[in-house]
Amino acid sequence: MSEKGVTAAQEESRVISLKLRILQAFFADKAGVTGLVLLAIMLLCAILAPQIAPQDPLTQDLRNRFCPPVWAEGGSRDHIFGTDELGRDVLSRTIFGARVSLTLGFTSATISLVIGTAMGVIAGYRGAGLDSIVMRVADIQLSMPFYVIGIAVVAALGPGFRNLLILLSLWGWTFYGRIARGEVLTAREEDYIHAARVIGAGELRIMFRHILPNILSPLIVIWTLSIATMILAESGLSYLGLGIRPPTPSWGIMLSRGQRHLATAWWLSIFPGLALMVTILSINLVGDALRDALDPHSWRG
Amino acid sequence: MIRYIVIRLLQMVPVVLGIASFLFVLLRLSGDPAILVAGGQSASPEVVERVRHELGLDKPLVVQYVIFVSRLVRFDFGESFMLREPALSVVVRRLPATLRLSLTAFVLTLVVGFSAGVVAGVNRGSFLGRVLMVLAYLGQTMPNFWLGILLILLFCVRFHLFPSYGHGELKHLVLPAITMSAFSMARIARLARSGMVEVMSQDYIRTARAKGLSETGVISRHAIKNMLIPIVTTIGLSIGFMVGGAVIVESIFSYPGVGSQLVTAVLNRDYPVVQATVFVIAVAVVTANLLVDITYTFLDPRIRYD
Repeated sequence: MSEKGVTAAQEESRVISLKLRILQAFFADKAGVTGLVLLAIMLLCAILAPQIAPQDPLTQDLRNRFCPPVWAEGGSRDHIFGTDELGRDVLSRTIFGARVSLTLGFTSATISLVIGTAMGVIAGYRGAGLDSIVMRVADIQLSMPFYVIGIAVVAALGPGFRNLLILLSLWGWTFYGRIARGEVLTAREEDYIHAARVIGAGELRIMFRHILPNILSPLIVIWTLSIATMILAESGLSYLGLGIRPPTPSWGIMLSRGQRHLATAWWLSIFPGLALMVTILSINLVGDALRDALDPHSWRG
Repeated sequence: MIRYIVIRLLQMVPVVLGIASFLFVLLRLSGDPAILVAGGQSASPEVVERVRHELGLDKPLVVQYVIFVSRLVRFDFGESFMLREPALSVVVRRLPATLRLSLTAFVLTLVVGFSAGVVAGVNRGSFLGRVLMVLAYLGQTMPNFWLGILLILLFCVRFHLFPSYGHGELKHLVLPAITMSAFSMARIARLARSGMVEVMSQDYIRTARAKGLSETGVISRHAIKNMLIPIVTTIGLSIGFMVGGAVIVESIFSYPGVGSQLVTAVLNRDYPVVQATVFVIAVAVVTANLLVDITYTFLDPRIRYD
């Protein structure tokens, strides 16, 4: 009897936490789950590249150049995706390319999240002059096409991983700045903020301890989608020869080198291109599903 | 109305100034220009000093800045290191090609993207509508240089339908224009569809139908006009995006425009040309955005930034 009573009482008072609800909504979205699985595969490739890749991505084998994939005539099991113009294994280079792109993407997205949110929160909270200056700069930066500005910066600073990281982090803050500032403008007038002020909480504490946790949702969605944007930006610059320095494999460089041999050695471009597309697609699927999951209006039931 | 335009024009000034300052900082960051102009690391110190004096680099930074900006607004960017002619004319020479490409891409975006979206929105849930939206989703997620390479693989290598490089004829524009407009086309299509869906459920549509207006009439007379605003906003944003895309697309297809020139200039360390190109493109984008904003006020009289 007591067992039944306890169970019934537990049922009555079972409250599903908000986080759990969001997770439920996310995993109910098939597209989002597919994206997550694909993304996880890409992440594994990036993290475990040295263990997974069958060959060293930098080893050249000039006697074995342009070896086709294993299922085509002349292919070999040693090089499942074939070899490139210097005899390097395409599969290994594609896997290592994931490493560069995903690292750069995640890191720059996170850094720009921090910078952008900080600028947006401070601008929104302080308001007045600071607000308009920050928003003006953001508007100007947003209206400039990335490649034009990015190429100019690379012209000045030179290519390479570190400079790309700086460029992307400083470019991406605008995505978050506007949204964060807008959210802060509304949140600033909430009662709990007034209460916090009344009991003497300092500005910084209010901004980051009280307002920030409540405006995180849209920022996280932007963060997820901006990883894809960063990866695309890096690949584009590398394609132009202004990004990652060779011989480090990057999907962008592989695409551009492979383009010269499209008629004869299509596998040089196709595989890195597919990898890039799958990565972008999976990130977008996850980001879209996350956006829907965080929006209570789209929850079902 | 006129007041609004004047205000917007005045607002362009700090933006242009900002761009100029940005270029100034970049130039300083890229190393000592005197060495570059003098002929590289092997130049003798006396020559470098002379060049430094000629370029005015020994003056205080503030003075240099003022000279730089005053030259900029007169469109004097100095001489191209490579071609020994004024940097600006180097850029302007390639401008028509890029404009042709951008305009084609723009028209494609509007015509194909918008119609696809309207069709999908009106025939909601139909097979055609769903196919179009899947294509649109792919178009938005696919990296544009990957799309370009795929198009080359399909239409140039496999079926020799279009050339993969060059310019001058219409056939040279097809693949680059598609590549350039794919993303924006897809975005407009999705927006148009959701806009149509929203508008079609409004009461005044029902009234028009009840009054006996044909479906086509309903769509063209009432529905479309009212969902244009977010579309115009997105079109405005697309302009900057497409100009940036021009850089990549022109490189993929070896299209001799301003974008590919920027890349070449950077690879050759031809800083005057880099500056000139960036400035020209930036001013063009700002002007285009201004024009879009002005069009905005014509569309919705309620929007006035006073």
